[in-house]
Order: sequence, then structure tokens, then C-alpha cells
Amino acid sequence: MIEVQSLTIRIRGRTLLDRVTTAAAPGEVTVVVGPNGAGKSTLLKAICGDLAPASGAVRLDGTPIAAMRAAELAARRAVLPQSSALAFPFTVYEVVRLGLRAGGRLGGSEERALVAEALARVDLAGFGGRFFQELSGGEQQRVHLARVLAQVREPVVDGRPRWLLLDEPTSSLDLRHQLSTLDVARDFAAAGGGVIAVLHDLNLAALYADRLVVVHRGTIAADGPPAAVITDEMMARVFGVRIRVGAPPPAGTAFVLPQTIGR
Amino acid sequence: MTMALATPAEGDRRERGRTAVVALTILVAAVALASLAIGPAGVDATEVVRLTGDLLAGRDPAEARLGHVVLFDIRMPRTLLGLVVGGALGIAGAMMQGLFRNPLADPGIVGVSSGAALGAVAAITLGGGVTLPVLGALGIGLLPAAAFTGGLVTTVLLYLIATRQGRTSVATMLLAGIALGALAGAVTAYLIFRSDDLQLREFTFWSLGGLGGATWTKAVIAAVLCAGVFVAAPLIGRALDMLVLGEAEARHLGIEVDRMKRIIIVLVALAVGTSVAFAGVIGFVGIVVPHLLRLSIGPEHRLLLPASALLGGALLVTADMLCRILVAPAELPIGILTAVLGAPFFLWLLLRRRGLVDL
Repeated sequence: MIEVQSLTIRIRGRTLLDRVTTAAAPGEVTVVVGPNGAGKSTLLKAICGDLAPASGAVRLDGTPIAAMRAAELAARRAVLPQSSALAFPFTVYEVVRLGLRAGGRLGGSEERALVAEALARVDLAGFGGRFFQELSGGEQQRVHLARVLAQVREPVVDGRPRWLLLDEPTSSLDLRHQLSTLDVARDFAAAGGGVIAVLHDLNLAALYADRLVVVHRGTIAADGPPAAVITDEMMARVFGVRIRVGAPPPAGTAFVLPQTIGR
Repeated sequence: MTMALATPAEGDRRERGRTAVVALTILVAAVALASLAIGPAGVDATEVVRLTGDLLAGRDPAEARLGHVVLFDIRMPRTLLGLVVGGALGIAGAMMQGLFRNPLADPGIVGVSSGAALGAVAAITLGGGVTLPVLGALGIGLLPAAAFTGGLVTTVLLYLIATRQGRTSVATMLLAGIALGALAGAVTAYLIFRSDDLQLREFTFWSLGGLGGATWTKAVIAAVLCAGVFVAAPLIGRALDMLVLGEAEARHLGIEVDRMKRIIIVLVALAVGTSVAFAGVIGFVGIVVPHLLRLSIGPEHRLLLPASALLGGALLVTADMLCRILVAPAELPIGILTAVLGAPFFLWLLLRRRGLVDL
């Protein structure tokens, strides 16, 4: 269980989050949405432990994360950054291995098998020998996903769930890989792990979230199952667009909805 | 499965790194032997073996007195100091480039060496009576301590200036390095300007740099000071690898980032301070060595750091040999050689990575 309790984050006098209270349960995909600058990335950073709260706390299974050591946190959760450039020519294999090394030393055939497995999960089987810097943005994002999966490869360890914290994991991906990435997240939750993801695309959020948290102006504007949260009223109030939720566009308009996949 | 163990996975360069470390160790041994056997005094390889045998057997033949002095009192401490200083420069370059996440960060280029030199000159000119005689126990401790302090202050300042919210700006780092180097140079020049004849002589002796002034005392002190760096380096390799992703990412992977950064900065200052105190400012070893190694064994620091120390030591001792041979019986200052070889390499690196520097 990750609990956010009356969390206030201030940076240089600006209040980015104002007494936010919410929680995420293992076994579920919790998706954070909101307009630009609403504070969703700030919320995720606070949950990762990157930002010190001005007041309130983030707790992981009851323990405030501010009191936990970096190594302890790394064993319980992995974080996928929005983007991360590398200054040195690491191979894809070496980048994914960084995730494994976070959990201690491995070697030989076990390491090799785990890296290959993580790469296969993100549709990059056989990419181990390529240089990270020479991949496309979307491929780089998937390499990082593989690294993160290598870090928390078992969703549950000693009866305790582990967590995937994903900051816009689909931002540079094509539609097929957006779906496969979120499938990975859903499988992780289904196996007992916890997932918190910041997403921009409301259709994807509606499709994959068990629970949707809408952040608006540093507070929680709505919180619940997607069908209850995504309403005409919320879209107008939070996103400032007058839109009709669930209504098909007029005949003859081309549109693509991930919800229709496989139907 | 046995096949899987025999050939490393594609993209896994660790095996290559291990092989390189073994090969470089052999290279260091070979270069050290050559350095002992080469020089104008005519003590050659067979002489080296015979004299060493004599020493180990406790024999002290009078006719070999001169050879004995040349080998054990001149060449041996000189070779040891060369290995230590070269190794320290190589490993300091690799650590700094990892810390700043940039292959262009070299203690010589970004002003850390200038800061250490300022410390050394301050010790010579302001230490006055304390440093005299230079070889006195207190003086020989003061010089590296002051150089270490100068290097530490510069590295910390550079890091504070160039890093904002966990991101290090390359442009800021290089420009701030130029400014800090110039400032340190100006204060150094002022200290020299106001120093008396005796201090001036000491300064000149020190500023010629190189390994020519090596004694057992210097070599052993340098070795002891740098031993800490060489031992600690492989332990910080994992942290440096994860820092390459970014500071937040390293923390997410379990690294106590702030503590590691402090450790790395102190180790860099210790390595640079020691080498500057005992051999003067020697440029370009710190940038050439790690870069060459990254091309062949990749950038993972656990093997890159020891490999950089080994190649740095081999390179500096080789350069020192060339300095002794090229214009014998005179000696070329070693800084000339490393700059003539290193500067074009650095320019090539800049041109090749133009996109990355992007001022």
C-alpha cells in the first residue's frame, strides 16, 4: 500500500501540491492524469522520494519513505523516468543490467537470462548488443522499461508487493508499444505488484486504470474507477474542454480508439 | 548452458574488460622493467637482474656501487612515482568524467590541477620556514596537503556552479573551469611575484614538474596517499555507473547519491593533489586514458577505473622514458610530451563529439 497523507510540496515558495491525500493498492493499476502543470509529475516524484514534503508524508506499507534508505527503497520499487540520456556509450545489455545490479550481484547465465527476458518483455529481443545512444526515442524508453522490470522482476517478494512507478511511460511510443507497455504494467499488477503511472492519454488511462486519480491545481479533483471519474463535468472543470464523454463522433469522421483493440 | 557461459552475451563487455585489466597489468610490469633498464648511465637489463640478485642475496660488491645507486636510488623511486602519479591521473580523470557525466571533464582542463598547483605554491611561498628544507618530513607533508586542499576546493566549487537540481551543464562546467583555473593562476602568479629568492628557487624546482626529482620518500608518500584512491575506486564503480543515468535515477537504483558525490570529489582531489604536489601539473593523461579504454571495454566503471589506473601508470612511465632518451643526456620536461600527444587527441575528441559539447 502506498499512502499519500496530507502531502504539501513547496519549491521556492510555490506550492505545487496542497494537502494531497490519496492511496494506491497493490494488485491495481493506479493512473494519475491531469492538465499540464497540475502537479501529477510532482506527485509521482514525491512518491519516488525525490522531493522532500513541506508537510505530510508518503508511506510505503506504513513506513514513511523519507525514513528509508535508498537501497531499501530500490528493493521495493522501481522508477521509470520520462527520459534519460546517457553520456557514455553503454550497450542496451549494460543498461538493463544496471537494473539487475540494483538488487545485488548476479553473474553468468542467470544474469544473461534475466536481461534477455526483460528485453523480450518490451519487444526488444536481440537488441542487447546495440548502443543505447543509437536507438530511437521510443526504443530508448523501452530499454529503460526493461531496466526497471529487471530491478523489480518479481512483483511480490516475501509476501510484500513491489511497485512500478511510471512517469509518462508511453510518451514517445507508437500505439502498438503504448498498448504493450501498459499490458506489462497490468500484468505486473495482476501478479500482485503495485503500479502507479502518470499518463496523458485519457483513453489509455480509461482502458488500463483500475483507479484514476485526477490532479488539478495541486489538489485531487477526482479519484475513483475511470467510469465514475471521466464525466462531461470533470472534463470541463479540470481540462477546460467541453466534450461529450462516451459519445461517438459524427459518421464519416476518422478516429482511432484503443478500446476497440481485439474486438 | 555451458555454451552460454563460455561466450558472453551480446553487448556484455565485462569479459573484455577483465582481459584488458590482465593485459594492462602485464604491460605495466614490462614498462616498469624497461624504465629500470633504460637510461644514460648504462645500467642495462642484465645489470638490473644481477644487481637485484645481489641485493636480495645480501651481497654488496664494491665495483657495482655506481650501478647500485643508479638503479635503486634513482630509477626505482622514479619508476614507482611515475606509476603512482600516472595511475592517479588516469583514475581521477575517469572518476571526474563519471561524476560530471561528461567525457571532457579532465582535472587539467577544468581547473582542478590549477587549484592544486595554487595550493602547492602557497605551501612553498607562504609556508616559508616550515617547508625548508623541502625534503624535511613536515615540508613533504605540507606540500601534498596544500595541493589536496586546493584541488578539493576547486572541485567542490566547480560542482556547485555547474550542477543545478541534479543536472550538470557541460557548457557551465567548461566555462567555470576556465574561470576558476584563471583565478587560481592569477593568485599563483601573485604569490610567485612576491616570493624571495630562496622560495623562487624551490618553486622553480617544483614547477619543472616531471619525475626527475623522485626520491624514495616522495614515491612512498605518494603511493600511500594514492593507495586509498586505488582501493576505493572499484567500490564506487557501481555508483558511478548508475550516476550516468542521472542523479534521481541513481537514487532510484539504491545509491545514496549525495554521500557518493562527496566521496568521489574527495578521491579526485586526493589523486590530483598528490600528483601535482610530487610531479607538477601534467595534462591530458586524465582525458586520453579513460577515453581510449571506453572505446574498447565500454564505460562500466568497475573495470574502467582499475584499467585507467594501469594504463595511466604505463603511459606516464613510457613518456618519462622518452623524455630521458630523446635529448639525452639532458631531459625533456614531461609536460611537453604529454601536451604534444594529448592536445591533438583532445581536439579530435571535441570535433568528433561536437554535437555533445554544443556550447
